[in-house]
Amino acid sequence: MWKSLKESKTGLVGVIVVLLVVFAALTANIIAPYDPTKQDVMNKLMNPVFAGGNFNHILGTDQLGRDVLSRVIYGSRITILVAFFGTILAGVIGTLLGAIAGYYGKWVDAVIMRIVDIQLSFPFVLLALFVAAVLGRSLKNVIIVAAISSWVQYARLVRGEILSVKEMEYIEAIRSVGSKNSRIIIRHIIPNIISPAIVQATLGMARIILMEASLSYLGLGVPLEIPTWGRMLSDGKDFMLSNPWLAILPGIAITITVLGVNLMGDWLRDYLDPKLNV
Amino acid sequence: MDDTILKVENLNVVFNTKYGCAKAVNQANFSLKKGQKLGLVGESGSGKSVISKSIIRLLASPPAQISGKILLEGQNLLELSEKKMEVYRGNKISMIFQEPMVCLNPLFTIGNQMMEVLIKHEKITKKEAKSRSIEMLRTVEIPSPETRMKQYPFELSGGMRQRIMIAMSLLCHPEVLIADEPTTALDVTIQAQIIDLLNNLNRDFGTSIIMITHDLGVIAEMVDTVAVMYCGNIVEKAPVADIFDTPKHPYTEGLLNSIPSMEDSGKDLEAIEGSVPSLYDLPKGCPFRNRCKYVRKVCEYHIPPTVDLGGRSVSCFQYTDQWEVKE
Amino acid sequence: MGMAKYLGKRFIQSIIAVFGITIIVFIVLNIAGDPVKLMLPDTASYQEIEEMRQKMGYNDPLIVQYLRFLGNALRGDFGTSYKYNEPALQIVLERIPATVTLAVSSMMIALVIGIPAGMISAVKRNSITDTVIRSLALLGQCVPAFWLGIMMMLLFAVKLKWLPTSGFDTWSSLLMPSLTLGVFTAATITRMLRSSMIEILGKEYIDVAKAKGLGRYVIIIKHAFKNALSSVMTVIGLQFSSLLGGAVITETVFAWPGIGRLLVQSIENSDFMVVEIIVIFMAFAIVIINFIVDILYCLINPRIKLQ
Repeated sequence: MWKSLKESKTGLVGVIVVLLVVFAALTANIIAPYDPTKQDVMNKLMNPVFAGGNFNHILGTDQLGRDVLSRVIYGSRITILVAFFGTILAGVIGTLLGAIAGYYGKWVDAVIMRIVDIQLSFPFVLLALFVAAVLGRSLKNVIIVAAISSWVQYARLVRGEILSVKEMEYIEAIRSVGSKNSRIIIRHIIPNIISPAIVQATLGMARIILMEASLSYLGLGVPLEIPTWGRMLSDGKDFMLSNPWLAILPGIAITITVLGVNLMGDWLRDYLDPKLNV
Repeated sequence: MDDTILKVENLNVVFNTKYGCAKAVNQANFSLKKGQKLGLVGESGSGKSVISKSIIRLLASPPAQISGKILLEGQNLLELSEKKMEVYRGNKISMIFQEPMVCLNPLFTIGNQMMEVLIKHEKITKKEAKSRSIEMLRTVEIPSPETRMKQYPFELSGGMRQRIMIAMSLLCHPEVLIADEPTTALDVTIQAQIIDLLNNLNRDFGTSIIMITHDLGVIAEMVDTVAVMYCGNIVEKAPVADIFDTPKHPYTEGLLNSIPSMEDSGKDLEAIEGSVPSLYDLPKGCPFRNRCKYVRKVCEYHIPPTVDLGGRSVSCFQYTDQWEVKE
Repeated sequence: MGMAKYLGKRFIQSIIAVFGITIIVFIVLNIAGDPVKLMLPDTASYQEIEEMRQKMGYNDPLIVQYLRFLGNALRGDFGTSYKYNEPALQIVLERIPATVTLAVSSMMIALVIGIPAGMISAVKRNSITDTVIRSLALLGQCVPAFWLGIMMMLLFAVKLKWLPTSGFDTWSSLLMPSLTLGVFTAATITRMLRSSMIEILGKEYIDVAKAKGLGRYVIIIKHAFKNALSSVMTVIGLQFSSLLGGAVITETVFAWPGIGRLLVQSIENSDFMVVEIIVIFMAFAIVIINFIVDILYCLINPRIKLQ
C-alpha cells in the first residue's frame, strides 16, 4: 500500500491534504492562535499578512475582528465531523436497506429500489435543503441530511452483491451442508464489498463536504455561531470591497480539502480495485 | 517480369512499454505475388498479428517502433503520411479480423458501414455505392442482401457478420487482403464455408491473401505458401506441400507432430516440451533452443541465419556449416 | 414494438416517482410544522387555533389530507402563500422562466465545454493537453459553486468591471450565473465522456474503421463519439437534476429571481406552500427530462429501437 502511494504522486498529495485537515480538526483548540469567536472591533477587517496585514493575524480578521486563521482551523472541525459521521450513517442505512432489499427480494426489494430511483433523480442539494429546512439548524441534522443524501450508493452496492452471491452455485452447496443464510451472506459478501465501499465512501465524503458547505452558505447548516467555511464565505462576500480575502480564503480551504479527498479516492480506487480503472 | 505485389523487407517491430522492451517481430522478410495465398502460422504471441497490423499500419506508435520496408507495388507504406495511408487502407489493401461479433459498429446499419468505404475511396454517388454494396453482399453469398443493408449488426449471426466483413473488405477490389484468424471465433461448419468463400474470391478476383492463423488445418485447406513464426521470427518459409511433407525447422516439425491425424490415430500426440519464452526476456541465441531436441552449443550464441534451400528457406543452424564444427 | 414497451415501462416508473415525491414532500411538511399557527397571529387562543384546524381540515387523517391535497393540486390549487398572501402557484410560476433560462444556458455551456474537452482529452490520451483538461475537470468538481460565483464577481464585476454583479436584464448578467452553475456539470461531462471515449476507441470496430481507410475525424466523430454519447447520455440526464439543485445556490449568490432563490427565501419565511410547489415542480421537471433522455437514448440505440 505504501509503495503504491509513493508511486502515485497525486494520491500522496491527497492523503497528505486529508491528514492535515484531520490534524487541524483534532488539534484546533491547541494550534489555533485565537478563540475563533473572540471579537476585536478595533482590529476588524484586517488584510492577511501577504496583503498588507501583520503577523498578529496571519490571515487577517473579519468584520467583527475575529481571527480568520483560527476560524479556518476551527471550521475544519464541522467539515470533518459531518463528512465522517455522515458517511458512516449513510453506510449503515445503505447497507441495511440494501441487504434487506437483496435478501428478501420481491415487493420489499421493489419498494426500496423505487425509493432509490426517486432519490437518484432528485437533486441532493434540494433534498438537503428541504430536510434541513424541516429539521432545523443543528450539527445532528446536517449529519442526517448528509446520510439521507448518500445512502443510495451503498444500498445499490450491497444489494447487487447479495443478488450475485445468491446466484452462485456454491451457496446452494453451503446451504445444503446446513449453514445459516445470514452467516453465508456475511462471510461471502463482506470481503467482496469492502473495497468498493471504501472507494465509494471516500468519493462520497467529497460530495458531503461540498454539500455541508452549501448548506452553511445558505444559512441552513449548523447554528450560525459555530464557525464553518461555508458560513465564513457567505459573511465575507458582503465585505468583498474592503477585504476580499474573507471570501477567498474559506473557498480555498473547501476546494483544497475536496480536492485532497477526491485525489485520495482516485488513488484508493486504483489501488483497491484495479478493474474499475479505465 | 516480377509479379510481386507486396514485399516485406527486414521488418522489425519493438514495443517499448513500462515493463521493458519487447521485440515482437525480428527481421521479417517475405513477399506476396499477385493471386498468391500466404499463410502466417504460429502460436499466439509469435508476432503474426503484429506483422499484419504493421502492414496496414494499425499499430499505435508509440509504444510500437517499426522499422524496415513494406512495399506495396513498390511504394513503402511505412513512409506514407497518415493521410496518404488512408488512401491505401480499405482500397488497395484491406483486412478482416478475428471477432466478427465486435467488428461492426453497433449503432449503424450494415449498408451505412459498407457504403462509407466506397464513398471514401471512389468518386461515386450514394446510389451507386448502395448497388455496389448489395452486389458485393450477393458475391459473398448472403441471402436477400437488400434486407441486410438495412439491418443492424446485432440482428445477424457471427458467420453472417464475417461474410459482411469480407464483403466490406473487398468492395474496392484490393490487391491484398489480410485475414487475421477470420475463422477462429466461428463454428467448424461456418469455418469451412468462410474458407471456401475466401478461396473462391481469390480465384475470381485474383486478390492476394495473407492468412494469419494458428490452425494448421486452415493452412492446409487454403494457402499455397507458409511462413512459420516463432517468437517474432519467421523460422521457416516453404510451399505448403513441403511444409507438411518435409518440415525443416525443429519447431515446424513439433507443430506438425502435435496435430492429430487419421493414420496415426491411437498414437500419443507429441507436445513440444517447455514453454514459449517471454518476449520481454528472450534468451540469447536461437529463441527456440530451450525447447529444441537438436540443440547444440552453437545455438546459444547467435540467432540462426536464414538459409535458402531453393524455393524454401529456414532459420536453423542445422543447415549451416557451423553445425558440424567440433564443440 | 420494443421501444414503445420500454418507454411505456419508463413512463409508469416516472409517474410512480412523481407520486412518491409528492407523498414524501407532503409527509415531511406535515411533520415540519403546523401551518395554522403560522396563519394566525401569535395572540390566537387555543380554541381559535383548534377551530381553524377543523375548518381547514388539518384534523382529518393524513391519508384524507393527502388525497385532498392531490385533488386540489390536480385542479391547480396549491394553497396560498402566507408571506405574499397570493396563490402560491402563481408566485412560483412567475419565477420559473428565470430558472429555466439559467438551467438551459448552463447546460449549453456545460455541453459546449464538456463535449469537446472530453473528446480531445480521450483522443490525445496521456498528452499534456489531456493532463491539463483532466486537472481542470477535477478542479471543476472540487470547487464549490457559490465560491466560484463570488470569485467571478470579484474578478469580472468588482476588479475588471466587465460584467454586472447581479440582475436579470441583459445577456451579460446571465453569463456569470450560467458559468458558475455550468462548471460542475461541464467537469462531470468531460470526465465521463473521456473515459467512455477511451473505452470505445479501444474497441475492434474502431480498428476496422481505420482499416477501411476512413479519416481520423470520421472515426472519432461518427464511429466513436456516437457510441460514447449513448453511454454518457443518461449521465447528462442526471446532471440536469444536479443542475436544478445547483440553481438554488447560484440564484442565491447572484440574486437571480428564479425559483431556487424563492425556495431559500420561502424556507427562511416558513412559507411552506411555496416550498411544496417548488420541490414538486423540480421533481416533475427532472422526471420529464429523464424521460426525454430515455427517448433520445432509444432513438440512437438500434437495439432498443428494434427489439
